[in-house]
Amino acid sequence: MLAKSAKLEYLKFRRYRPFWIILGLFVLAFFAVGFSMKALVDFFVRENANDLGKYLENGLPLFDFVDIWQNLAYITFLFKYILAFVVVISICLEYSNKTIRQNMIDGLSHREYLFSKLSLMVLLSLIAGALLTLLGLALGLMYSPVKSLDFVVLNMEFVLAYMFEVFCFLALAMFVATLLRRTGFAIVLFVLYSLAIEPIITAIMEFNYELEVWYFPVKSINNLIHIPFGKYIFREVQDFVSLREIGVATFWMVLWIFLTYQLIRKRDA
Amino acid sequence: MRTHMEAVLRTEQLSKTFGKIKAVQQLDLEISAGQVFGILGPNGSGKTTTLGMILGVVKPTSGSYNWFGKGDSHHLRKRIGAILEHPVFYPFLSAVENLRISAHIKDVANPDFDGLLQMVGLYDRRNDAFKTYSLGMKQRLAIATALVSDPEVLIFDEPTNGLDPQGIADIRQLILDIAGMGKTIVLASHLLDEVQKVCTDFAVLRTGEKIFQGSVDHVLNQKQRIEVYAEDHERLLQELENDNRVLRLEKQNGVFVIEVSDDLTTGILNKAMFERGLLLSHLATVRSNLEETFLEILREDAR
Repeated sequence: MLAKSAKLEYLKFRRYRPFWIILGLFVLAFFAVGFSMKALVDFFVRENANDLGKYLENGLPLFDFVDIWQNLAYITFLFKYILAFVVVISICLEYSNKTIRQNMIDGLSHREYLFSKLSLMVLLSLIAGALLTLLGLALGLMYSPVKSLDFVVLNMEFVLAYMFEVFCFLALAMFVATLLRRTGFAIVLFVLYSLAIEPIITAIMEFNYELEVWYFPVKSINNLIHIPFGKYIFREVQDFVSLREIGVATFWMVLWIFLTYQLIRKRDA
Repeated sequence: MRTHMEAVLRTEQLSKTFGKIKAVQQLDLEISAGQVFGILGPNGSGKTTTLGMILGVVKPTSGSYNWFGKGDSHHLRKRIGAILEHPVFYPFLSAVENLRISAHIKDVANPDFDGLLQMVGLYDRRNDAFKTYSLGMKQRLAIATALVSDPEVLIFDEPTNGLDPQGIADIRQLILDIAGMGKTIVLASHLLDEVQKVCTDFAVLRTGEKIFQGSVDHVLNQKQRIEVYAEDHERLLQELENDNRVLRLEKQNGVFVIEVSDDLTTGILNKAMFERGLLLSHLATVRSNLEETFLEILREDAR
């Protein structure tokens, strides 16, 4: 059934040009940001040389192996929005064209439909992971002082964590798209919630009332990979992926998929 | 072996309400193998909702339906070819690519896309995107898609809606050809004339209720009937009995009601009687009850 669902999604969208354009832009932006990072950081260090003192004269060790995987995985966190848009478009298109209804009339089960969208999400997550790996290897081999294989692969679990982060995020996107069914509406609400509403709520709770906020859906996804840069100004940072955070993100991800399935099953198509 | 009496579809007390609107009310239908079954009713009478329910995309509020005596599952739907309302396809894909998706969903092993597209007359445009098609071409692709798994049952919902006269004639002929292949067909239409021309059996829906069910031959394709009367009714009776175009004669409410062959119209009858020196005091065509009822429903609907 998995192979059938995946092939169905492929048959539907392999000729859909906007997909390829968005994916192309995603790859381009991913590499452009990655490669311009070095120049940007060098510029920043040069401009602030007096304040930061002599220890930075060789630049920040952003792209040194071991450090590089967490750094890149964190820097590229916004790119998952582009992939989320692909998922939203693919789902909302089925509703605006009423093809989801025709698929079911033709004999597609609710589960097969869900799996076809999940297969798209898995593929996008794998692409994100592959790009991160390529970018990390390229930048590391260019700028890292150490290049031995043991160091290269050390901390590569951040690539896995990044793929997981993308997949969890896409699960939320799938739910919002299935719930709202209209592309523009879904994208606006999705962006508004994840970039404004939830961050504002959690910020107020955290800073004004000192409440715990790790369990919020978007927060839990973005928390998988912590901000690594504190260590460059001698602050302690979490340089691993914690099991509790994986657990929370998994809980939400499973919930979004389950709710999406319920929506498809219970609603008139 | 299938017998002609086997029920392909049976619905029991099938009902759907949208808020306060009762779209379909306690509908009992039984459709047998080999029938071309018309669901006749004005717009908004619950035809599409009924088809949506039996195709698993509209959840019934109450009641049940049963396909092939086996109940309902998405696997059974692979044995049905159906298009609801407008032709629905991926606009950026070609005819062949859209057909391939349906064939993939229905697990068709060796689909004959070229043959199907030739049959519906779309072969030359098979590689063009669906969005470039005219409405008639879209309807024809819909029929090809419905046929892709060589299904036992085909369901068409207003298949000639919005087409020009030539398109309407083509689609009707196509449906008759498909019926000739021994397939069971369910056709929803608001056109009495369409049901009359294409179907063998039919039911009439009105605001979600079935108000009639019967065979087209018995009810709609009756011989033309004429009411006639003259002062000299004994001579009239004699003349009518001697005319071999008069197939049946009875006396109803003080006038003669005759069933006539197609070549005898009221005009011809009037002239014939006049030439024999008989002056008719009453002459009128009689509509069948159903036709009368249905036209009444349509008139109410238009108001």
